[in-house]
Amino acid sequence: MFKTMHPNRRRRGNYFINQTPRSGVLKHKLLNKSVPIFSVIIGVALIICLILEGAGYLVLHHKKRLAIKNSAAPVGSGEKSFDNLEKENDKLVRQIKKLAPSEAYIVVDTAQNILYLKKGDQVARKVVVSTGSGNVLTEPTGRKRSWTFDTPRGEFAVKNMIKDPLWTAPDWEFISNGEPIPKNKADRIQEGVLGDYKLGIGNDIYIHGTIYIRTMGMHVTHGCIRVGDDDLEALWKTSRTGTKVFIF
Amino acid sequence: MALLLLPLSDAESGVAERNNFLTQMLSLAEKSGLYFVINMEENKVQLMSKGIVLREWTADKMTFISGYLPLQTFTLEKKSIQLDKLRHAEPIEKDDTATDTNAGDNKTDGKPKSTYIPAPALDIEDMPSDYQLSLKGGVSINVIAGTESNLSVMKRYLVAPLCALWPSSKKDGAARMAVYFKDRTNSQALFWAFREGTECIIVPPGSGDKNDLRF
Repeated sequence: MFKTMHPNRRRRGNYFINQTPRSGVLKHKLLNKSVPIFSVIIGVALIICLILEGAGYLVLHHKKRLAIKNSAAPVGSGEKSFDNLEKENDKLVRQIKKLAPSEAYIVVDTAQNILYLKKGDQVARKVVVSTGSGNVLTEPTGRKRSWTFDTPRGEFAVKNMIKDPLWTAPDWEFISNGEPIPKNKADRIQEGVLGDYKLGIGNDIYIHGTIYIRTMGMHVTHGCIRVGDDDLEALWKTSRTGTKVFIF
Repeated sequence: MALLLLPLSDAESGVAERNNFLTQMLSLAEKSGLYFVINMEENKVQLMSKGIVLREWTADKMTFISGYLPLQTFTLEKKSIQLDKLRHAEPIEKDDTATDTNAGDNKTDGKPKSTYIPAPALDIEDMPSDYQLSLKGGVSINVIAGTESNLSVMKRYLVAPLCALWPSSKKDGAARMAVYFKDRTNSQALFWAFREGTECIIVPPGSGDKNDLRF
């Protein structure tokens, strides 16, 4: 039987019978064979990953471009030719610029309690102020009315300007102090607590002076904007009825 | 290779995009009130009114987590954290025995009166720095104080392209964005200023020449 075997097989058989297999050599041989296979597998996997990533990236990019294209007005359709669009854009810019206040305006940052007196992009004066506390007061008895002491946000305009203002204390002042609400208006009036000037921006909200200078820069008011004396005078001199006030 | 695959935006689409941007800007500027411009091209959030910038925040990074947006106007529907809930809504009744200099003034007819003591007002430091802004139409913006995590970067660059090939992803889900501020105060200030109902224009990245969308 041995003789009938193919010479190559016999040689291989001899190798295993006559030679003691050395594991190091075997491992080395196996490694030599497997390293290229692994490299090929990893290489192919990497190429597949790259192709998939690339395809995915293209799909994402296509979606993005589609979204951006959809947002743009169609060029060349109807009267909106390229030249017309450029002219229209110039006109739009002019229209937007016209809306901006041409004179000085006031910007109040309620987060930082800072008031800016601005003209165009220039800050003419930066002032530390006090703004609304945001607290809520609910009437304990009776009508159970509720007040939130927030400085309103948005776009306003100076509606009235009053020198040497008197303060007519509202109901919440008495409720918060636990005092009975006076029936006579004269009992509500207090002098000298609002400083020398007050600028009304509507809904009983004013930019005014204060006797509580120590609370400047804090959220302590019932919604009004308290300003120091010198700064208030500067505001008084610069503002007029109609001056824009932006509060955020 | 990626650069070669990018289609170049031509001058025409730039002009058309600018036209869209200016049209929306005009419609917001004509309204009374404040609005935001979230410019992902320049990583800027601008608070505006009447076409003027009242306050500007520069973000460190603005990215799309998923989906994309056309340049359009959105309205802030809600924030993930409600400001009202942060406040102490109930007035505290002052204890009659409290040692207050005005305590003596708070008595009428011999009866002690309840006096309202306001809760400490919320300051900018009390605002959250990580929150989500939900806009009408399902768009959401995650505002994060800090830098983008490595996991998020990997998701964006490796996982997202693969997911885009998945058949179910062809349905365009609502866009999700992330805005990163290194300075936590900026994130808090944005929370303070961005109120429910405020409108905003989102300028997506790659919207033509930067100058086209600069006002």
